Amino acid sequence: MVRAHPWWMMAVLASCTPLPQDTEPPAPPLLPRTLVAYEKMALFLEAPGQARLRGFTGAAPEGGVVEVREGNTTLAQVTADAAGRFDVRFGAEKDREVELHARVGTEDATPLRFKVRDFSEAASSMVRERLSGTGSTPNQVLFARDASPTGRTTGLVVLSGDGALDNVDADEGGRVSPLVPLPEMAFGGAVVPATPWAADALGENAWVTRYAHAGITTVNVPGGTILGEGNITTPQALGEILTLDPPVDVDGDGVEDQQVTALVPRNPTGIAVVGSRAFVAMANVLSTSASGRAQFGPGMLAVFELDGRGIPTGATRVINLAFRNPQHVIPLDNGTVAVSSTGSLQRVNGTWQVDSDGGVEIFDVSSLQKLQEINLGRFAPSRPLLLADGKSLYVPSILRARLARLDVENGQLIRGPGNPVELAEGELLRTVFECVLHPTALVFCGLFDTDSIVVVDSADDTVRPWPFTSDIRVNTGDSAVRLGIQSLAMRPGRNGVDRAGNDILVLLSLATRVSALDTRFVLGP
Amino acid sequence: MLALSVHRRVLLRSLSCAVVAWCAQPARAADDDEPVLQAEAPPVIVEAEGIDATPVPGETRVELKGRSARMLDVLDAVPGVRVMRAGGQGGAAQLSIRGLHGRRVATYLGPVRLDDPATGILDLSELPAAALSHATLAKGTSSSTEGALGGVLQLRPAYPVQPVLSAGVQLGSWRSLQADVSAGAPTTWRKASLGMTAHARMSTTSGSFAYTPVAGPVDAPVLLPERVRLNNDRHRFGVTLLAAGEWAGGPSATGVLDVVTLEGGVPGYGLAPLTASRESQTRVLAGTDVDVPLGTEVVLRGQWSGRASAWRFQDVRAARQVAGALLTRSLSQRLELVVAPVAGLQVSAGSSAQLDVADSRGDAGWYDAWRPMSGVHGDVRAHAWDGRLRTRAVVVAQVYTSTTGDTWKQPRVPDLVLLPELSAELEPLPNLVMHGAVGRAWRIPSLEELHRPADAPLAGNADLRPEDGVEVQGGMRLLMGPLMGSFTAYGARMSNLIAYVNVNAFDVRPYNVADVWRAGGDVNLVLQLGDWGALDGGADVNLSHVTATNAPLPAVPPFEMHLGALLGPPAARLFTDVVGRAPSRGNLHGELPIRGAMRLDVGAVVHPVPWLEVRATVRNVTDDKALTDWWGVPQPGREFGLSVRWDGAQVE
Repeated sequence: MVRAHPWWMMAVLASCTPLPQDTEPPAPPLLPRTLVAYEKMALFLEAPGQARLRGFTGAAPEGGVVEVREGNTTLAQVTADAAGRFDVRFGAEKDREVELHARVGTEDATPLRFKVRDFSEAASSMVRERLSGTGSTPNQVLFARDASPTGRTTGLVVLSGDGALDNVDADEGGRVSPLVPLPEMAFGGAVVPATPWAADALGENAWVTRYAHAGITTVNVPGGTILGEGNITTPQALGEILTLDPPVDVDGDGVEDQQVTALVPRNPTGIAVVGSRAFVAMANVLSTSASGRAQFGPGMLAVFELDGRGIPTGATRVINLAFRNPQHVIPLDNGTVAVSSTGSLQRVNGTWQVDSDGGVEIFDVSSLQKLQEINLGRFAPSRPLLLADGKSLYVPSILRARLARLDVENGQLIRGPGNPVELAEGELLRTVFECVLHPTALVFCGLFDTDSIVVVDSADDTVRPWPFTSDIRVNTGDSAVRLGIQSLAMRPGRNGVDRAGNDILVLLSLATRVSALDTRFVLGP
Repeated sequence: MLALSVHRRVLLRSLSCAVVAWCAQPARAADDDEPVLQAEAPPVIVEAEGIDATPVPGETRVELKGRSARMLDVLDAVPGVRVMRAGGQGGAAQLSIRGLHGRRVATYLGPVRLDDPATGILDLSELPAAALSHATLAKGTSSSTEGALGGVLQLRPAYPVQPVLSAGVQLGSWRSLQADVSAGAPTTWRKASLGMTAHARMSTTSGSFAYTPVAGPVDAPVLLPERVRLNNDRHRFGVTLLAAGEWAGGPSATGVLDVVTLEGGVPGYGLAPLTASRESQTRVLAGTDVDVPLGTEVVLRGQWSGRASAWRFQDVRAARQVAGALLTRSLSQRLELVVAPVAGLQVSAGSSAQLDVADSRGDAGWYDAWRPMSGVHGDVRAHAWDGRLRTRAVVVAQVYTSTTGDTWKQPRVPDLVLLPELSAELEPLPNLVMHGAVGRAWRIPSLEELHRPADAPLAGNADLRPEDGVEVQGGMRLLMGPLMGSFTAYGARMSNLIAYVNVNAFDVRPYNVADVWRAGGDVNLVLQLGDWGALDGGADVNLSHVTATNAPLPAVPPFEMHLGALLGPPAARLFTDVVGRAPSRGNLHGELPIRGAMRLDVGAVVHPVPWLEVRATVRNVTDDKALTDWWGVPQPGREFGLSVRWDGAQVE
């Protein structure tokens, strides 16, 4: 006799049964090194009975001819433009195999078989929602900028809540080298955790900013050891009288200050190491919205001199910035760094806004002279991204899903607050903290609020270029609780050629998790 | 006639003794050292008669003056119950039943609900342990009490049924000091009998201890170097008055008044140290139960209670004198008519009403909010087969709304719910009891969850729906000579789980995010060793699944166990407790680790004379500084404690 179990027990048992593991899709093969870049091409079914082949920037040499064949029949032929891009449609059904033949002049590239695939299936295979868990309040994921494109690659994770720098194997998940805890420091009788905010990494070294300590720490990543640290304790003249309303105890003497003419730089955020110098943005947060009104001192750029091992020597210089609340510093190609500042971020009647201009400033790393200053008004810029041309920046906004485009060589605003690159419609608060540049010149931007990634073709500012017409959902489990895309990191090298595996790490700060994208599932055969 | 007033009879018996002399009581020390938990044993209520005095099926009586001498440790040893601590001796502590805590567990001191209606805050360490008699614990969903998704803990005051004169002092680690003094006696005047006891207490602790935090993800946690917990001090002073009175042949009443004032730090974590603050709080609560006989089989019962709490916060970092203030008040009343028309049947019906008010003033905005709620209820209890079958059916209809000072003309649409509950106990054999229950409860969002200002760091959400839970449970208990055993299993589903989640990159608000499936159970064994003590052990399993994240509920260990021993003659005994917990998850997505842990406590209790008790305890003998508790809050390493208690009523 079959006995009926109580419904609740069955439901509970069902809920306790482990979910079936995601079946790993078969990894695409490594691609041949040829004069065309198959890893920069996408071939998918565009409509029933119609396939589309698209080559993104650098897919083929200028004037190169790409021919789509089936046996001896040529289905389509297209010639690459000056940027190596091409786009062609031809009749085909799903799963049909075709051969791509490319030639430049008289030289033929190794032909390669492509299959006409469904994009949504490929896109879902691309996402690995949980590569690894992370610790408390993760704020940034990054690769060493000069990491080897081959072999095991480590993604670093800055854990603000845990006060540590952790790391994750970019392919397998799990920790590669020891987690590095950053020590607490005594301030005025209280012991304050480091609260690491951001990092930069070169070779085996990483430099981490300690938001609560006004300093940076040099870490040896493989050894999991701290090599040294630098702190700023000297007040910097503001060059103006800063009036505080309500008053704030700026100097920690227990007395609230109404007017300030100098302050010790504090709240280091973004960092970039160039040569023997670490450039650090100092946000100088004096009070937050939680205490009535956020008040910022003028933004500052602190320059720490480093010795041969990358350890701060103690020598520092501080430069006053034009904008408030600097959050990011990135190195550019021509011996300069770009500093972006959001402006004074406020919450008023439940909505967030900036009540001072933000912008991007360019500094020469040798002379420390300011070369450019680009005012973005109330755009609330976040982390800039250097584009493939080496002179343009995309700057996302932390308050709207949009990008500004700057020409830093000439100090020009190409697309600013008036005509930004819109990643999402509407005026809802949407935060884009970071974007990364793919070798195809496609830019992947993470939307914190939708757990999705929007692709932009930086060659022509096209948002959601085919086949990326739908956003890439990182929240593959359809969690009803937001995961929160906080940071993205692009792995060096060409995926599918120099190496095989995940090439974009996605930090989900609310889920305290690292996700990964393997673009080989979309780009290439 | 059915005896419907338990308190009255207790008082009368004591008064008849008290008027002659201070009764020479047998040495109570031995009684106090009886097993901590009479697990699942029916409450023994002196001279109680009739259905009203019998236990609600599935309820547990917990003796609060057990071997550990500390109420929190006694509760912590009950299977399915966990005391979540925010520090060492004297630190704040919260109750968890079957993995649910905060406003999801209803805790009462006499007729007064203890958890704050606006914030949900309940610090068990504030309670007047010396003024408590015992506790009644009902694990699982209870429709009779708003918010009781996890269970109900009813702390029973030791009303003045006999003269009391006692004092105690306890010293311990982290510069903790606790002291209390109690005095009172019953008296009679013509037909009136009246008793009153006053209890005063103070406690202080530096709250500063070293600990080793855990970092990293749940699958690769790392112990970090030792850190020191600061701004965790607590300084409390409290006074409790307990009163009971009766007019012979007429009405009777009991009352409780409790006042606590405290000052202490609010330690932060991670990013929060930047906003670490200090708090000052004064809490006053008062309540009374009144029974008025209207005939031989009819009693009118009334229950009135009120509470008020005033908080003041100071921002340490910004040297601000007042960063915020919060004043909450709550008034409630319950009236019911209890009728026993025939033997073995008791019917009661009545109504209840409650008004919660909160006023907040702070840098981040302010609000004034009201939350009125009312309901009607019916309760039928029946006995059959010579009392071997006991059943109870309850149905509650409840409605509530809420509004703020800004929107008082447009209060939210009232929510109405019908909450049924059925429970039964069957005693097929003299030493075997089987019990089962099915019920539904809901938790109305707190005022802070509903109406905290939009510019506050954790803003409210006026659109919140109540959490709604149904639960089925069953079990049995068995007595075989000196061995007593019990077993309970449950399955539950909660919908509309309220959790604080990010609404965007900057703001966190409460939302109804998910449904939760829960299942588990507990076992408990007690072996009495006569005058030489007792051994007991228990374990509980609490599994959960949050549909929104496919992860278990945060901070709920899937497995916990407890072993205890009390050995030796009544005058000098050794005791030991072992508590173990499996690892659990520290956030809603199930990624942050809360370490599993095993803690060993040992101690000795000596009664050199009947009126003096000396206890020495060592908690966390292995000095594990990586213990964590409440959401991964660090716990201190080894703690020492020494207490001396003098009981003047025992002096010949």
